[in-house]
Amino acid sequence: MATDQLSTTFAALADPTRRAILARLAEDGEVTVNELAEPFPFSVQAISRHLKVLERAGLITRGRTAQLRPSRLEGAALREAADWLEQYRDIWEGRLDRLAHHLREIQRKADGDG
Amino acid sequence: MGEHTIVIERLLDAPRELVWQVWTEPDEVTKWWGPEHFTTPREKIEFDLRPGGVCRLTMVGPDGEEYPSDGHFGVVEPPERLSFGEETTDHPMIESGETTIEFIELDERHTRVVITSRLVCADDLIAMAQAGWASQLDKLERLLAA
Repeated sequence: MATDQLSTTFAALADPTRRAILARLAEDGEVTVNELAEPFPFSVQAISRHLKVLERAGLITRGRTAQLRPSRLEGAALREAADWLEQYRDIWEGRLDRLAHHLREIQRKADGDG
Repeated sequence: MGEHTIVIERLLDAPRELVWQVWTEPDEVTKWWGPEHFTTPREKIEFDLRPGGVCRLTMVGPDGEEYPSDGHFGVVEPPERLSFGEETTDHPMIESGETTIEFIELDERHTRVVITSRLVCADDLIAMAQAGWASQLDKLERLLAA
């Protein structure tokens, strides 16, 4: 997945209402927007906006034919985001690469001076 | 809140005192901290190197976007051990973290650093991650059954 797609996924996951929607889909499979709106203190329109964000992030897909357009969870995007621990490790590995490089540089300079 | 621990080790060809210096002095940190194509400008690094002291820095991305990290030092034991906690982190999935770095002297020119990070993230994010796997496996099963 491209980095900007991952950013879109992270942005979509940053909202607790959207995470609650995803949790509901994980439990119930296909759910319509009206069913999704029920447990929340928001309008159907507000839930629809959240669903659009989730769809753009690739986290859900929505039925095309039925008028109710039931939503369902899409696992692949979620799994990419779930690899965040590995990304955190990569950040450290990158830092240490540059630290090692910097240490080599300053020691070479010091040897040259000495 | 869910907690995760990751451990990263690296052998460095440098004396321990030098590794400590490069890790704790802002004039040095500015030269290596941050991912490729990112910078950590000297004026955006604020270290008060003592237990409870401020540990704050901001990385700047290639597009000029800023990624601040704000926290405090915990253990400061030169040149052996350093720890810092971050109340805000630059990673969207991580709410807070505490990192300990051990500087182990192997000989006069070699140092091993061991980084232990305890990361905290929202429980429902972990549940999401697991749901992601489960959903993926369901698909695989359907594919294999077809």
